[in-house]
Amino acid sequence: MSTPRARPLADLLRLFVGPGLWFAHLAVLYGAEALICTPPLASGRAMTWIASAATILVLGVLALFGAALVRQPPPADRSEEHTAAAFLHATALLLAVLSALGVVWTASPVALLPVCASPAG
Amino acid sequence: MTDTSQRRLASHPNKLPRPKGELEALEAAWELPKGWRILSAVNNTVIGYFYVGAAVLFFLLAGILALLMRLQLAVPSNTFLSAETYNQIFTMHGTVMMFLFAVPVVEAMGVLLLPQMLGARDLPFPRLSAFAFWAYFVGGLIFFGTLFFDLAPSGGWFMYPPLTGTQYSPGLGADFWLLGIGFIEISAIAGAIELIIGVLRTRAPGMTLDRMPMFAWTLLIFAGMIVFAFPAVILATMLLELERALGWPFFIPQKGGDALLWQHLFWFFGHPEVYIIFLPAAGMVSMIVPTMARTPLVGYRLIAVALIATGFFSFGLWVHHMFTTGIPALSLSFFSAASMAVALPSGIQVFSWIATIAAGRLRWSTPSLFVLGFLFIFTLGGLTGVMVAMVPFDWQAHDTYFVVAHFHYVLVGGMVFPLFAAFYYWAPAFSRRALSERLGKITFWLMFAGFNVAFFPMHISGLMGMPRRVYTYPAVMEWGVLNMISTIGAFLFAAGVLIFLVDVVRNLRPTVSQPIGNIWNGPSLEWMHNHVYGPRSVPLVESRDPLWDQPGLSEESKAGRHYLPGTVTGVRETMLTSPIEAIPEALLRLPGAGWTPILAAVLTAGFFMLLTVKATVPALLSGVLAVTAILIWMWESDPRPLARAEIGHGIKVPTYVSGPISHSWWAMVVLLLVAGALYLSYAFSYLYLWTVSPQVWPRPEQLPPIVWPLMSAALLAASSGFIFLISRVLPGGFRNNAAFVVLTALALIALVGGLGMEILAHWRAGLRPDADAHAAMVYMASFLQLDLVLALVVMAAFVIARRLAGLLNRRRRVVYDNLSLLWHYTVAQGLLGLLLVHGFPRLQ
Amino acid sequence: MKSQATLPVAATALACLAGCGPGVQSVMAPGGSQAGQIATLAWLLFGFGAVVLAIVIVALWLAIRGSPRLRTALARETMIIALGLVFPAVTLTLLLGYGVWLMQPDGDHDDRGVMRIEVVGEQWWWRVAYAGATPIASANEITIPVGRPVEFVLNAADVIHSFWVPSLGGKVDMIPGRTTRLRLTADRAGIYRGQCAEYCGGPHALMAFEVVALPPTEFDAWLAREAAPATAPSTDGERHGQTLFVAAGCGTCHAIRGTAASGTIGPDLTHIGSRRSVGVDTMKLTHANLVRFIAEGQHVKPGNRMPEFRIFRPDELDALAAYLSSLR
Repeated sequence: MSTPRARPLADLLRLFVGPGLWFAHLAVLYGAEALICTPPLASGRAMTWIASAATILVLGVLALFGAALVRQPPPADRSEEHTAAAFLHATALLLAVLSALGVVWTASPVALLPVCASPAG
Repeated sequence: MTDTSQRRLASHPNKLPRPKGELEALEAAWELPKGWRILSAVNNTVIGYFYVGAAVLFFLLAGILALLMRLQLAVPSNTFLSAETYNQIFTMHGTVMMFLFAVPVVEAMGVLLLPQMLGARDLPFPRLSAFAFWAYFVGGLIFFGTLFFDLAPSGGWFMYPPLTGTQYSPGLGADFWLLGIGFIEISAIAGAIELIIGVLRTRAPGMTLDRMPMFAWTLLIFAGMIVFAFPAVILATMLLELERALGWPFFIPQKGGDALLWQHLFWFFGHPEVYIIFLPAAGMVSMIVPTMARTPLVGYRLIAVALIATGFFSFGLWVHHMFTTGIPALSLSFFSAASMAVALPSGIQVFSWIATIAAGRLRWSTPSLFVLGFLFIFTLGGLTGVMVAMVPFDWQAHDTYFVVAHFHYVLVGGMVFPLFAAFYYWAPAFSRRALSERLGKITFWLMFAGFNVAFFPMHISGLMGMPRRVYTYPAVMEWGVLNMISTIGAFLFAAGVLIFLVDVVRNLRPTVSQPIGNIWNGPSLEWMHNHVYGPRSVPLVESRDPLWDQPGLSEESKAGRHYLPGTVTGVRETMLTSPIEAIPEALLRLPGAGWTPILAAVLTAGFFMLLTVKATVPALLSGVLAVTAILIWMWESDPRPLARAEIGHGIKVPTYVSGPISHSWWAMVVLLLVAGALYLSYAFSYLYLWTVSPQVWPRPEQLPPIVWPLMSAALLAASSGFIFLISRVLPGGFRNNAAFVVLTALALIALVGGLGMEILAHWRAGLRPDADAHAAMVYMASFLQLDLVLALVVMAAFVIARRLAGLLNRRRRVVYDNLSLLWHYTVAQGLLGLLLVHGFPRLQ
Repeated sequence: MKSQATLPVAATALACLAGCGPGVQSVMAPGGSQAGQIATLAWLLFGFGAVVLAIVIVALWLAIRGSPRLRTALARETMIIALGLVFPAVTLTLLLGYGVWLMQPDGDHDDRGVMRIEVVGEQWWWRVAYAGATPIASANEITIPVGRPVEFVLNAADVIHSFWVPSLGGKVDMIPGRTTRLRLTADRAGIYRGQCAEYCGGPHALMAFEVVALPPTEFDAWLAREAAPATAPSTDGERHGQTLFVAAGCGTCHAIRGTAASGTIGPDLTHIGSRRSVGVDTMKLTHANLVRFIAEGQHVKPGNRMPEFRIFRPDELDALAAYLSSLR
């Protein structure tokens, strides 16, 4: 038996889904802002569209991911592989929740601030 | 699968009495070199000791620099230090503290503690840790020494261009920073590779991820963060050094460069850096609090979540160091939001510790005092962090003493106090005598009072308008009283450190074999009977707090009833286990003492430092010798496969594994992640400079004809193909040997040819790297490619030698696997570079 | 409140032009609306911080010394989530919202009433130009009208500097190759001190400046005087000083409008006599200090770009200082 089981590694990588999506969302919003404002490639409305689309998409994926995790049957026995899997399962879910909050916080200023206005100082 | 794992983790201990000579053989394999030859030791306990000692030395040195700064600032218009001296001193204080103390000390605690905590005998790559330590120590000493020759950098620890370009910093100081720190970071990355594989692959059987000590979790995340954060500053360092040495204008605005590019790259590293420093300290607190409260850690799951969240969120904050640079307000607010988000995981950790204290009965001891001090100071610092995360407030506080106060509260509170708690807590595991409780309490109160007296007033002086990095200030500003108070506090704090040193001299008696032991009744494995080889036998772990929940475990382990009670192959060994469930997978043979790591480290340091002072020929010589030392070391690696080994409990595992289960494969994959992060930073820089200076970007007709990059790409792909074909001729035999050599040679020619063609294409088109920022970026892609190609040339020669010596075949193939991983990555990186450089400008 | 305090304060400000104490340089003593908003935010943040710190200290105290029932309650994961996650999430949402709301551009963001002043950061002084049909060059001291938004257009000539007047508002960096902007409004007449807030090497610590806010009528008068060319010397001493100024080549670096001196390497000296300080706010403007800066500038501000002129005899230095003081 010299090959690792695929499932445990997948469990581990699932931890990164939430935070990874949060980071991608931030990168898209910041990148879009940078391209829209210097040099001005598009109008301010584009920013609102991109930000809304990215936010809805990411929150949607997070919600589906969270729902999938919640729907998985909780492991019944206390053997090693199952306590570890249950732990990773719960951790991935909590990370997804925190990431969703982060995504909402990141996106909300789009509603309040004009796109390319430099800071008043 | 369940059956097999239950059979594997069979809980019947080994039979007693153990065979004669088993313990003696184990001790002989792990025997330490005597006398001065201890410098050739590679095991984690000795290297860990050296490492912690070196880091503390740099702490003291940088602390003395701080005292000098405080003396200069104690009164207005002081003439104790000239402006230039002060500027060098504050630059060195920050640089030494951040790069030579903060990250190395937590890494050092990992090297010292982690294997014992995980039930492993050593780290998976002992000679790599030795190399990393000596490179850091020698490089660090030389770097610090520049102060005595008036050659120290004076551009601030974050070295912003254009101030640090050749025009405004003409001396060698900036080059020492760039080359010195750049190379010390490589040492940190080596350590990170070590820790990731150590945490994920060498845990004791049964120690599943959710039973792992919290300190191990933090080291895993710490190492992962290093992998993705350090490459950004390594790239920045390369860019600035190339600008200084060869005139490639990355940061010179008149030629299309941008000063902010440095800031983005530096802070993309710089912000995760401070969490890199904080997380292991938090991990140490998570180990100390349960022991002192005499109850298991409450909120283990929540803390694990918090740690991972912190690790990720910290990568999304970096622009908060640039709130005053005129970036649009909306962009700033994204990073303000992320900066708030990172406060949440810290809150979870703080209240988890409070919950643990509430669940138990806190014992009053020096470690407890330092933990309480940490909680107060770190929380205060975190709150001023929330303040500066608010953009308008930061517009006032940025670059003032308010920020100086903030970051000292979080760094000293968040790392130094837990570190001192850790010294007092873990000393009994490594010393024949514990440190003194009486002196420890005095140390604590002096440090706590001194720290607050020194740094709290800085919040006020900052808000009263005192900027950072000023060597003096006029009396009329009325900052004198606050500064004097800060100076007094600094000396109080130093007095506390002095008492600590007295305590260490009087009481610390380092030992690898007979520590005073578990005086605190701690639950984790480093408190078992311990020797230089860790436990006599690697215990089967069934809980998060093994020494509390599995009575008699230490005695059973000592009697040899668990895994690996001796040495199966006669050399040093530890167990390779699966990453999540810690099921034994293989026996890992480890090297003993040797001189090649320290030699290679000194010679590598020599290469970088001689290059800095422009002694090119001696530098190259040193470099060649360093590579030679490394090749000798590598030649002694990859021991031949032996029969399956019985590791105890009636279980047999392979002694040689290759492919994705091999620890060496994992190390190479992590290295590729580092290289990938470096290249992505480059790609970001290329695209970023285009947004700033599109006017220096070429029109499609100015680019080399497309046939050139297509040919380059074809050559690169061919070289990958040749390397892949080698896997078909791995079985031994003369014909296969010949084919092996031919294929490797062809692959090399194609690889080098692909790179040469790319450089030639641009040169022929008239592009010169010092012309403007775009040209510099184009040649930078080739420079990054060249670094890997040179490494592959050496590795290919090595692989051929292994093959011809009969040391590489179908079974014994790890060396080839590593070569092929790096090779395919290099080809992919090269192709991406071609796409970017030739494809992007054609999009217009 | 504004108009009532203006007159006596303005009188004080005018009087202080002759040289009183330093200008106000404190975040918590705002003299303008931007700084005022930030100061309010600061107090709110201090309050918030104090409350949260108190909660943590109390929780810790109770965890150690509280009754068994209280400690059992604190030892639960739900407590960690409530206090460590939910409470911060709610409070930080509110704070974030407030902070972002404060970043909205001001209502009076139309450009018609705005006055523009260009400032270029140099190692280690401030090049100032009042925008207009004919830009008015100045250096190291900036005069602005009270009650009118001023837009500072910021650049850097060499390395990164930062323009910061804490009592009027936040700071903005001056980055070579980029232009940044900062809008400040002084609500009260007075003198506000600013300082370079980005390490720029050498005597960065001594790169300060003052912003003098004058009531509108005084400001208009000042601006008219500033636009005029240099006053001609009226005494023999001053004339002697002017001759020396030209002969020693000072005009290669320093401009004095209306004379042959037209150098732009160093600060414009056309109206230096009316400024409050010499040596970029390192010393009050007095005859003796002028002499000192010319002859021993490197001792006053080590590393600054003006060499020491020890070639002059004491009487020559007096003449020079007299001439410069006459340039009001």
